[in-house]
Amino acid sequence: MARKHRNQNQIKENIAGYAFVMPALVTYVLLIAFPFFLTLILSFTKFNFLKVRSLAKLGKYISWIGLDNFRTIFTDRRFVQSIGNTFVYALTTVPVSIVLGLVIAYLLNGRVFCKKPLRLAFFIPYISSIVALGAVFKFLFREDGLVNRALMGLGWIAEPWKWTVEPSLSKIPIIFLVIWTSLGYVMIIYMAALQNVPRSLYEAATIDGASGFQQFTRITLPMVSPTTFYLVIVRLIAIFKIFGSVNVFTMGSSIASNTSIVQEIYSSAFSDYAHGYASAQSVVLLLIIIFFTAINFGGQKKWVHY
Amino acid sequence: MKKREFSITLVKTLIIAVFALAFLLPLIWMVTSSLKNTNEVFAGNWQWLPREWKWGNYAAVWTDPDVSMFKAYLNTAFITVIGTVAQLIISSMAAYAFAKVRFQGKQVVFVLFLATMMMPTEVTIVPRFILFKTVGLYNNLWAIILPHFFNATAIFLLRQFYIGLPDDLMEAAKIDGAGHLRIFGQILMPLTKASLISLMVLSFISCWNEYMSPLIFLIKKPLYTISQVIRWYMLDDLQRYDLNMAAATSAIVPVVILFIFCQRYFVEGIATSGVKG
Amino acid sequence: MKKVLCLLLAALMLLPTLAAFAEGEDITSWILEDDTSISGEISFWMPFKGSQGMDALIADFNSIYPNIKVNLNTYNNNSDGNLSVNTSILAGEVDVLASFGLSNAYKRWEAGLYVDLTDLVEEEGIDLVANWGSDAFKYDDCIYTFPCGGLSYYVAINMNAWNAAGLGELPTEWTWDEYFAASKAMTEYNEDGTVKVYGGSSYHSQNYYTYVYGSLVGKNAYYDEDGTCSFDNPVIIKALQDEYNAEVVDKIWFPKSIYRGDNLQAQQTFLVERTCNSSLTPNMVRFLPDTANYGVDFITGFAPWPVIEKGQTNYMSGVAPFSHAGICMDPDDEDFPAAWAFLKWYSTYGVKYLAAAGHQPNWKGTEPGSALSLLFGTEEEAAKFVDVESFKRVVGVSTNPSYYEDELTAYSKVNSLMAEYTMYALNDVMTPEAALAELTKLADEAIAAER
Repeated sequence: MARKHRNQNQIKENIAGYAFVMPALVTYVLLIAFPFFLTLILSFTKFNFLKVRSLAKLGKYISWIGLDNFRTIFTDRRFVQSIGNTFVYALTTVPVSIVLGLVIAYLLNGRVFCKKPLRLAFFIPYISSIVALGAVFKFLFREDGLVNRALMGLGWIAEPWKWTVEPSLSKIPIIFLVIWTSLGYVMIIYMAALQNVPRSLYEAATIDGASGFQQFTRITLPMVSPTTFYLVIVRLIAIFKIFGSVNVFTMGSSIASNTSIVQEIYSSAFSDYAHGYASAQSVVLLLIIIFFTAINFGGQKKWVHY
Repeated sequence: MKKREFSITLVKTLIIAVFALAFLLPLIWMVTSSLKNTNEVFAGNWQWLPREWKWGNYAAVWTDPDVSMFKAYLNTAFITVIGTVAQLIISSMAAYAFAKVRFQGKQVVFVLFLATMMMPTEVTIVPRFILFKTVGLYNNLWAIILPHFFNATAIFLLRQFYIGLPDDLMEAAKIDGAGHLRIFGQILMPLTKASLISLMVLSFISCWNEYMSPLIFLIKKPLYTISQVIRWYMLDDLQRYDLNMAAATSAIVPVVILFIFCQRYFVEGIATSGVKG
Repeated sequence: MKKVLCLLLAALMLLPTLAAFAEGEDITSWILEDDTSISGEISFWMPFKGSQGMDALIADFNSIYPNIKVNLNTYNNNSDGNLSVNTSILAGEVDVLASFGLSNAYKRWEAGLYVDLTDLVEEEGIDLVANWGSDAFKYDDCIYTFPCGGLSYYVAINMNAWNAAGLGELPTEWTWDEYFAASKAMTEYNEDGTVKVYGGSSYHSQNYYTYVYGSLVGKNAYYDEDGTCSFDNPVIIKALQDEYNAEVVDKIWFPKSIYRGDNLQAQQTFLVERTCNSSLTPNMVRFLPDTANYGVDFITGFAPWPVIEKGQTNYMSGVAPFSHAGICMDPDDEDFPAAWAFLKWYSTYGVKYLAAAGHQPNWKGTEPGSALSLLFGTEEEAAKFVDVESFKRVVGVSTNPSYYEDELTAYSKVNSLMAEYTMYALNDVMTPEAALAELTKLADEAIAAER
């Protein structure tokens, strides 16, 4: 009797549990899990969805080519370069935005005037539309744009630099744009973390005669290291899938030196209509993200203090 | 001593203020360019303020018969409101189940959900394109809204919050004969208000500024979102930078105003997402 | 019955046109349907707006087929716009589509986005060569589109600058060296020696130097006779070297790197910003009557596409096929006959309206000389904007030898490689020779991979 009652209870709980999870589960299955497996499957095919006129004859339009797409990827000059470019974006913007963000958060966390308006200034780019900001930056870095005028006015350059089409310069506007838009986020996260550092630690250090800089390196840095770790992961993933800020700058320029992984996936899928190949590129992107997240988790013991 | 503290604070403020000003320069320049006329934007003897204030640029951008910013605002607001509200409700329900309902298979489902936190949606654009095209959601605002229904981060954060709520609250209600629906809807969910507001802010930012999905799924001009209107001006033959900047300003200023009024929630919302790695 | 009716109709309506053909061959018999009262509603996708001749085109069509409603849908002819067209085709929203540029048309043939018209063409006895001068535009031996719109390539010249430089009469034939010399003469400098207005300019697309070779051989500027790419050809190497010299070394041409980097177009530097005094162009005439956006205070004169040496047959002086129109509607759709009727009418009688947007009709039955009146109304009105005599001599002369492309192996890939490496040369990252050498290698690889 008791057991039956328990069973009935369990069934009730099961029904309630799945009823509550159902909306999320359905969306998950339809829009995450199913597309994910479809990406895996398509990555082994040559497939152009735009050719499919009737879904009943779908098989006719798909040709299985095994690992061919993945072989092509490593000889695809543009895609290999886009991976390199994406790493350059990661290696430049992640450290700079994290260091600058921490410094500004540290300064803002102490006693300053007009704290809220100042915080707002750093925050606006983060909450704003990336296309709007990209449009502004593309305009600033035009041949006759504000940046060239300023640099020429200062006498630092003799003639305008071609920021958007010169391969050696073309990453710079994007790097600035990314730092500009991500700094506010880093700063807010650090400000929250800094509030959680006990004041008593600083007080004790002051009594021991530690300078402000020593306090920063010996107390603040270790205490916020879990946050730093979190930010490194979040920012790395954000950069690996960078698209908007790159897309704004690659419009029309034809060069390969500033394109990114997702930009190349987008153009394989929606300008070459190579949907099998684009899927294979997507799988490579996912592997890169998993690999670096794993490395970060492995390496965190060395420098993260919980 | 007091005086010394004051001057240190002043110096710190100045340092940050210089940074902040550098941060705002591009935006100030965007706003002033949006009020110039086309020729003045590129005039040789360049100056910050417009010689003649062309408010008409905004009228042109907002009422263009082809791609109007007004229509784009409505579209974007529709996406943002429905996407955010649905995400909060669906995530709350799932979080409640994971935290407070003892159903079989809970761990498996939860781990499956968590696993997606690492997979960016960019990885699945091709299948999503195929899917939406097939079921007739292509060129439909719902193609942008639906993916917002599921958000693993929101579920995870809310679950943490529900776990933190004492079980006594539930037990008392259960004795009164309340089912899960009442416990969830009337007792526990109202207690998560602060977290919900934070998540709402995050969802708002991501819906409002979304770029890639509309680019792929919304190709009809009457369906354009704010991002696409700006892009349209960037690609337009006439290259009207004054209008382009007016469009960019139109996209940014309302969000900034909203931010000023709800600064606390924005900051808390962003910070919540990064409480712990 | 149908044939008889058509012949009768054609004979009545088109006696003057028929007379123009030496053989007296009737190329119009297939165009009109027996029953012009057929009804239907179709959407017509095309890069031109209603005000750019398309409203007039539809009105004219409706005077013959009053019961077919044609909804015009204007798209942007860039990669975004073309993607939107292709996805709209899948959604069944496009019925008749004009593709601009062989590359876009080719992708659609390849993807099967156009309906195969081969059987219909055979059934109705449509002679592609007699109508449009070429039956080369096929994919897998299937006909998907009619090559009914073309471009005329020429040099548009600011006559104030031309006269100020004392260059005399506009040339009826000139070499590249002469054009570069004229560009130099028309270049204006600031007091500090920097360039104020460039004397000349290429078009804003990257591929224009390959047309130097195109004007010599008449077809397929990207490919040699043996099917490999042509970028190692001395003519092309010299052409890119010349453009590099003009833009980077001598600074007498508006730099292409700025066109690409700042999303500028040739009509803007010539008409709006006045940063160049002449420009290679296929469509400048379209912008001249648009005084709201491009109002100017000078007369534009026209000189033919330059040649390598005088006396050479100039294949760029005619009208080169550029737009390809076909049907995207499922043949089982009840409106298909209406779409077919519209396509046939558009790609023949209708294409003259392309002239209103600066393109040139390609159909052999088109009456000559309609471009000027479609653009400006009358000759007196035209004289306010253009040098009428040189316009008539140079723009849209379909009787001149014309350039065309029919080699399409790996075309999109070769085209985008060309665009990329041309930019490396013109940005001074690689020498033109080195850029073309690498381009040759990669393009030949792409061609080999496709074969």
